[in-house]
Amino acid sequence: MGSSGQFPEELSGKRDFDYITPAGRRLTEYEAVTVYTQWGGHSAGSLQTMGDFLLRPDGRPVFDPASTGITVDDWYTYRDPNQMWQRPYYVSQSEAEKSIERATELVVSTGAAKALDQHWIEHGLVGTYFPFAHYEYGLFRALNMAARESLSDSVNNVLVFIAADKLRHAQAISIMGLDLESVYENFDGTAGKRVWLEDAGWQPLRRLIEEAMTVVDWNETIVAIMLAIEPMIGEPMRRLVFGTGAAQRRDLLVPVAAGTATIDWQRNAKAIKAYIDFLCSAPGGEGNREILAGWLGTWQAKARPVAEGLFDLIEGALPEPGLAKQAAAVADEETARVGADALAGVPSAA
Amino acid sequence: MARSLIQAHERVKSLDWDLDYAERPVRYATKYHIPSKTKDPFRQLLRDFLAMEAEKDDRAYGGLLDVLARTDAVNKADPAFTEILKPLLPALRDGEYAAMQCMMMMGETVNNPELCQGYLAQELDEVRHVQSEAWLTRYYAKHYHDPSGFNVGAKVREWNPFLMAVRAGLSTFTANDPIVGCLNLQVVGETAYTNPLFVAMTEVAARSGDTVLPSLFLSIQSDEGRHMANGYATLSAVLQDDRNLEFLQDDLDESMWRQHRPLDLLLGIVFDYFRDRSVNTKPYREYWDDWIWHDYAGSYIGKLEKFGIKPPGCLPKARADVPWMGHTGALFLYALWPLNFWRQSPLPLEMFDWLEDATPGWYRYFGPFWEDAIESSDPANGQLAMQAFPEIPPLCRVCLLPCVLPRIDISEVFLEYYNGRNHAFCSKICQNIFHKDPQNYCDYVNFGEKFNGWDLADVVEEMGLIRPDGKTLIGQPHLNTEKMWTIDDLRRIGWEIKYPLASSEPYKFNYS
Repeated sequence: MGSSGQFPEELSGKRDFDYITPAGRRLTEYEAVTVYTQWGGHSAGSLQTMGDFLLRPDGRPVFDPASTGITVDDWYTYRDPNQMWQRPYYVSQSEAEKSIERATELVVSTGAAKALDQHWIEHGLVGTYFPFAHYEYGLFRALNMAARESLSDSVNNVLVFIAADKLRHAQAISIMGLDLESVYENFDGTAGKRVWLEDAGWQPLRRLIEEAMTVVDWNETIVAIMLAIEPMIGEPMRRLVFGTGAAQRRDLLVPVAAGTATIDWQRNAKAIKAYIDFLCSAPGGEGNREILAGWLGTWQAKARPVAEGLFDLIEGALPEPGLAKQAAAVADEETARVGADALAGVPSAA
Repeated sequence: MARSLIQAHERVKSLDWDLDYAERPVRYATKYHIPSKTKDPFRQLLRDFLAMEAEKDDRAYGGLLDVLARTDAVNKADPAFTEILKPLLPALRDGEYAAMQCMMMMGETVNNPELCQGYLAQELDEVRHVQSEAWLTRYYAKHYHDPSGFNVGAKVREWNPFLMAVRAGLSTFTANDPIVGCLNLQVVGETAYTNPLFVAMTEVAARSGDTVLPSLFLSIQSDEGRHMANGYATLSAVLQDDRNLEFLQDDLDESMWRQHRPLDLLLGIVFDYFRDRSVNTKPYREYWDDWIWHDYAGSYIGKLEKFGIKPPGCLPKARADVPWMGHTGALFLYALWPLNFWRQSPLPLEMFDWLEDATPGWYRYFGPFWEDAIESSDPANGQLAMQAFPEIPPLCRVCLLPCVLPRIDISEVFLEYYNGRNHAFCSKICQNIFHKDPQNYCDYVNFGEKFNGWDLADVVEEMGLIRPDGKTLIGQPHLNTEKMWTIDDLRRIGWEIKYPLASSEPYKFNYS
């Protein structure tokens, strides 16, 4: 058995995948397990050019270049600057969940949860944080579709993990609602859904999310969510309301959970900034900047009044004087973080 | 924090809502009616899922990076087995990727939170499988004594006739009505075939001295059980609405056939030919009888008979074909060796008795070819095993397999002319599948259509199947480091690829 005898080196070739051009000097583990795992018979840059063995029932390719108005010569050259792949992803997200679990045990076992005042429970948790679970879930649904239609593995990979982040946060909020039912009498952890579905103050946000969920062009979905909605609404909510706002009200649990989502956001913003840079500079992408700018203008215009209305509402309900103004400042900061600034002033393709 | 898993699961299911302000586009149309409430396939929260998968990764990757690397485990296996992993791992990875896409489509299409939670967990599982199988391929490239093939597989596999057929079967996961994709993936692919693929395969690997593959494959298979549960839950949901029955049986029959063709061929070849030949084991047809005939058709599908679902009609034919198709496939795979990115050896004479015992009559049909193969494996003799076949057999337009199965003398081929092209079918079943949506099978050209009239040496160069010295072929008809074939050897023989069906005119001839 076995044949570990020396194989002539001039015949054996590199001890690595030599069909992937690394972004840096050496092929990284992330690149090795990600790039060219998607077989795209019609995707620009795919190693396979033969077409599809079976088209979709409507006659479209499995990975359809017509699924987006954005073009590049090679979708497979995008790289996630976070170098994220499944193993480190599961480790980091498992740790995030453990931190929430431990915080939950702490606030329940020490009685810290009981120290929360009724006003925060009513307006901070039931009125704001729990309905926010549906915001996160809606974004998960939308981004998961963008991942399905994306035209290369490296783009798909980023979107799958961002979508999973949104689902993780949505589930964490839901489970927290259940856990707090054991702490407070007559507490209904499901009441947030009623707010999401019925409260007039939340309907503009719900409408915005539903519109984002039904966008057809998957790159427009990315722009809508990651360049407009998240920096203008999602992250200011997490930082100001669920982070510092909750902490000021002696809530030890929500800031931990929201903090893990902020860490996700910061990582994902870096990936999306690189993606927008890629789309704007990649060969074959002439005209992309204008299309992206057009989408950004549309979605910022939709998101801005929603953000203003929502933060005004929360500012009055908590109350949290100056919240709306601070939220606008955070929105500017996060808009810059995700690279949307680069599209400012670009004439829209529309 | 102690909490009721049932309650927690109920909570996360309520995250979804019906849209009021925008109309959800029909991204993936389905003819099936799925009730909005069904039983949960399993209760899985991301919190638990992430912890479980991280733990499993620690064990699998930890073992590979530590003791198995230090003990040079990769090179302790029989190279006959390790070589076939060069195509097998990319082929599996294609399947996992298509499975991930299928789950995304199911999550979008099926308006049922119970089922969707299962699909979402599976989607993440498939990401894990895609990347861990890619990681394992790289691991072999780093440690195996001949990395050639592991290091280029994803690039050079495009026109490999064998892998084209495997991919054609896997494409049914994504290029379909999502429920039909799910039938192909979960109800047939995962429920019937992941046991032989990931469980029995590890047995074959271990018997061949490979302790690397089992460490990851068993970790993968531990996810597959949940995927089977997803498939059963989907099937149960479909069965709740009588309107689905009129197409369910037909779609299940088709799914079984589409998966049987490439997967039984692949498994038959690997199990019976690419293992340590000095260790006797049972033939693939016996695994098939255990896993597919008894467990899947008898037990799993049998339980559905009360709902009016019968075992797929193609199963008796599949059962009749399985004992032979692996042998025929192995013969053709060997004959095509210059087109492969792995090495394979002629069958040792000592194995003939085992094969004859396993499949009585084997020697009559295959023995002489393998006897000649030993001689033709030496480039000095100037013979190619491929020369036994003056023309490429017709390639089925649907399953892409050569129309020589289960055995050349009892194979069938059906020809027809459609939309300016000749089309062959390996069976009436594939021909009927084609007729449902003929244009959807005409987006690609097959190997014969692409390379008809080419010199074999040019094809090999075009496919990138040359080693770094610029002349030695990656594929070899033996496992030795001496007497390796070069591109010059092929040029000296001057073999032309002939595929009569490539003609744009209606072709009438008798291949048999």
